[in-house]
Amino acid sequence: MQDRGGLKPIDWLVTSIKPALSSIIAILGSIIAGSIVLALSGIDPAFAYYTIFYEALATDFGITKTLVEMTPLLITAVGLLVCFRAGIWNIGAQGQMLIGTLFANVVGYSLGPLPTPIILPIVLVAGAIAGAAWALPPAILKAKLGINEVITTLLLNFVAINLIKFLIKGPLRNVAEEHPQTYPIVKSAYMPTFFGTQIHVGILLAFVIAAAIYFLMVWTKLGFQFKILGESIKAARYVGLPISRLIILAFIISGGAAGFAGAIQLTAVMRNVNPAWAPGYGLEAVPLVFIAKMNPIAVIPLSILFAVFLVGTDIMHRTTGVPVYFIEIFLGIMLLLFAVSEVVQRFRVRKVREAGV
Amino acid sequence: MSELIDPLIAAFLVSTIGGMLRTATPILFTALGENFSESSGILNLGTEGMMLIAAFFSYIIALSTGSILIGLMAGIAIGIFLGLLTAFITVTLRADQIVTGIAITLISIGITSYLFRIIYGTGLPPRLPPREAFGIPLLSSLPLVGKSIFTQPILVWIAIALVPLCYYILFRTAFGLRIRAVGEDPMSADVSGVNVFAYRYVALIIGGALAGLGGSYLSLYHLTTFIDHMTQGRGWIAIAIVMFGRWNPLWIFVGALIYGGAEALAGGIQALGALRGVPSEFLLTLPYILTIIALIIVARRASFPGALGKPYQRESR
Repeated sequence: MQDRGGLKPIDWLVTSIKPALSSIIAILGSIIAGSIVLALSGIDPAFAYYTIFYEALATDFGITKTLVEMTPLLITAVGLLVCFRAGIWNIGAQGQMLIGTLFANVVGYSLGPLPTPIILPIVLVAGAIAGAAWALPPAILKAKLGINEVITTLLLNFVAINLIKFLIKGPLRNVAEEHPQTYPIVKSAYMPTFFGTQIHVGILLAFVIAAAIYFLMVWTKLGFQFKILGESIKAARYVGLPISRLIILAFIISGGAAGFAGAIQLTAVMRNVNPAWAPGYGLEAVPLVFIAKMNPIAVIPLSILFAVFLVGTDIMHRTTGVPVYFIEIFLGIMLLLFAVSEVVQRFRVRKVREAGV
Repeated sequence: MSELIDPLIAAFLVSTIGGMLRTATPILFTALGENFSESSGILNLGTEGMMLIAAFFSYIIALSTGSILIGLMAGIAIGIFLGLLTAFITVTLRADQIVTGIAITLISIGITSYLFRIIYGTGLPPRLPPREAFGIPLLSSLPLVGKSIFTQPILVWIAIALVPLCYYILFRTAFGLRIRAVGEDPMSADVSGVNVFAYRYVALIIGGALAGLGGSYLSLYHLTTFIDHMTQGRGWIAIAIVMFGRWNPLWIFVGALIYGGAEALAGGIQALGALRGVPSEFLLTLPYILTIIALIIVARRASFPGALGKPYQRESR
């Protein structure tokens, strides 16, 4: 037997699972609750879950789609992670993504046919800048006036949704098309793909960004400062951290990530924007970051799992007619169970301590 | 003499004021309820979901029973149920209030659209017959303003009547004092014999019931149908209005009227065709932006209930 600090294998297993316990309970619990919802609406849950996993993982089409869906989810999630770790509740990633994508779109057709190595980075960065810019008003209001960012970011989502619809139907409309949509980006700004599949370079970029955020949070002074701010604003004030600057920076990172994620979707999948485009990634990334317990490594497998559910329910919807809204019920229950199991776990730890351990 | 004001402009103004009262109503109900929750120290971010679920259930129950009143009752009942659920999770279990509120809203958005597809398929939903309006005696027989301002669905008048009532309950009764006490300093309230948990439960139940009423008004009276995520952020706007109103029902009324005015104005301009060729979505951003501006105006003067957002734990006394 190897030395495991004098623990029996079963104890070792328990201690290594324990930090992830509430996440595991949340995921398993939501699968059970989802079964009940499906069964009540006359759908065999076993068949439904089999379909979800089979369609998303067992076919070439499914795997490709899962990776493509994972990309914006992962990038948005690691951005939000920085904010949430700093105790800042940016719920506006959806709006930040919409604005970022639309601006990237405009840049992507107005610069002309530059070579790919020049125009593609410009388009992606444009998306990030616009996303960060859309995150600035709630950031400044929070940092300078103490206005609750949950409310402002949620309200700005609705402003963004209506604003881009207005822009697409109005000033930015592609007049050559019958249905309202924007002009497509130039061909050289398309995201390169591998071997004629739909697997694109942006998927790799997502992992690079996740690694960068990991580095930021674990190895840099800035990441440490974000964590102090998130633990206790009093402590942050006491040690003299530049709180306003940290708040604004966290917003810029998460808004920028959301805009960047949208720009990748634009260059790799969409090429232009239509008013019906309503990405859920910004909202779906919120439960994701919590279930990952704000751990930049755990975010990666969980984005793949979430992408499996997104792709699986979408295909299941098309083949069996189960409404796609199942995914929101599912993720909402997962988030609720997570919040509850986190505190219940804390109860138990305290009771054990009180018992004199 | 009446040439001072163009009759068309007068008619537009009067109908906008009438519209303002109607669009302010669902926000007002929900905000007055949220004010009870927040005054007791619980930030309930689930109002958006509570309104949406109530809008859905009151609609399908009104359709299946043929009675608007039973639909309304169902909306209030489901609001109370969600208030209780939120209380159990945030007061008894002490889970994070922000995460809980977002989760409840996410579930509500999913479950209403999901059930709607299961029940009605993808076709157009059946519409309820329009509601009867209630005219205030004497005032409703005035020319011009009588019909467009003083004749409204009865719920509009109930919402307005609730404003002084909520003010009275919160600031002039022992019950209201205790609600505010558990929100301001739960430890002292507990020491002086006030049951912190019970008062927070009651506050969240009132909040749920009123959010349920606000949501039911939306589907039964305002749009007379159900549409996916039809609350469109109104639950969160109500929370912003509570902050704008600094936890005072009278100022909350002012905030709700400002929002209602913006929404009615956007609708009025659209109907008038004054901005022909400009997609209507441009005007739809107006109420949200105005709500944020309202928050900025009062930001410096806001004084939050002392224990807002913090779970109470007797052992830590």
